[in-house]
Amino acid sequence: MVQYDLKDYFKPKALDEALKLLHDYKGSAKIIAGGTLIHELSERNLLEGIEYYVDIENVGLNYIKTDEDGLHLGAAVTFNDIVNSPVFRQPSYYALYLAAKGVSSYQIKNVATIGGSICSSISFLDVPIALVALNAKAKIVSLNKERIENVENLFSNMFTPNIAEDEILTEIILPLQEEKTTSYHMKIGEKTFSYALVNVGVKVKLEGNGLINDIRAVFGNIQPTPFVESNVEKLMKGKFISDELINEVMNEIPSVEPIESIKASPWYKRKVSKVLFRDALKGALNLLGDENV
Amino acid sequence: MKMYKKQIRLIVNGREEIVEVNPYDSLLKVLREYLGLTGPKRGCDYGGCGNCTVVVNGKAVYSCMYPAMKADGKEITTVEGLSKGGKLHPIQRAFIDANAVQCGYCIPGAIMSIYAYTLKNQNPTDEEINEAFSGNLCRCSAGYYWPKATKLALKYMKENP
Repeated sequence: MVQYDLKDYFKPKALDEALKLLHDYKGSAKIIAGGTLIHELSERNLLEGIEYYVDIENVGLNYIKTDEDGLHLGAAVTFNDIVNSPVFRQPSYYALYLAAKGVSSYQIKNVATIGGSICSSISFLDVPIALVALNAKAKIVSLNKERIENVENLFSNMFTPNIAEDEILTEIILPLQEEKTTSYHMKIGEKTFSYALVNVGVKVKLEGNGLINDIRAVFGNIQPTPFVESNVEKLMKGKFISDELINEVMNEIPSVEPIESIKASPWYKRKVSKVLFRDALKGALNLLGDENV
Repeated sequence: MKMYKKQIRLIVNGREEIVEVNPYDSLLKVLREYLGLTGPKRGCDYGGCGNCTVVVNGKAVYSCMYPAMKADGKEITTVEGLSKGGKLHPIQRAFIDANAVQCGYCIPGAIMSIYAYTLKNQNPTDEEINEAFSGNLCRCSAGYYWPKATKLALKYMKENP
């Protein structure tokens, strides 16, 4: 690490203590959870002016529990916690399981956290794309207020989430598991351990015999923030699933010009996002089995 | 430059160590430069190659991007801590017997990855073995033999628990 002007590394034992530190050192303190992103940022000299790290490992944010509001994940839940928890093998949450599992490598998955993946505000990370597809909400607290936001609204631009310097993202809330609901995540990268060139998260709710009750598709790396493709919902909701319908939709997405990036041209991203969408949708439907499709 | 030293307590390979560190020091730096344990290697320093892998509280982590301050009070195992009484750990023995070593630079990291994995799963499938090695690169292609070495190691462990 090259954060040479770091003056202290706090390890608070309670959330209040962490919030107080962020409040007291506002602007010069940064939250650290797994530390993977912080390491990358500091290596690139992008943490200028940061003099304190506040480690939230021990403030009690590593829980996964279900209640009547939904499935709650503490922000410090690691990717391997998600992979190893049987609840995410169910079709409703499968996209999140795949996204977490697909992150390389094992050592990163042991430390990288779900909260950190959102707070990075990077549009092509896999876990946030899956969370947006699953209609996840996030709880953000500061010393004197608490708010709940849709995860997609937390993204603004690279490394700059819509979260203030004295706020902590404490919890991700997923909707309760639903009948006949399935989800999937897919990505394409130039190597297995690369970041995604394009990735997609899909969630589908069916209603007997393949009638689409609700559908949501989210793409990463197409726009600077996770891109919810409205054409998918517009063209597919209320219709019966069929190869013709999928082909028709593939012609209509993505409905925006993909951003240029160093690794993939907009032309390539446009082509590959269609195929990824098709394959992810089929992967999701396969999870439900034949009787529902 | 003003230094802001902090004192931390680590249990490294079963031995308690009290170390003064800078708040930004990585665990790798502390192990190599302050404690003289050169098993973990500094490869990419970026969380990509796996040469710095050590086991912290039973989990394999990249020590290059693991803050030393985070490791305060935790148990750390490096490749130096595997052999007992001059006898190699079954995984080390199996890596030699299966010819899974060429230049050897990546091996301390690779061994720690699979060591951590076998702590919780003694019967991994082929896919799980590959998953355990997913964060370790080997440029001499000895990595091709790591799964074979792992299976041999598991056999040794069962024969001689």
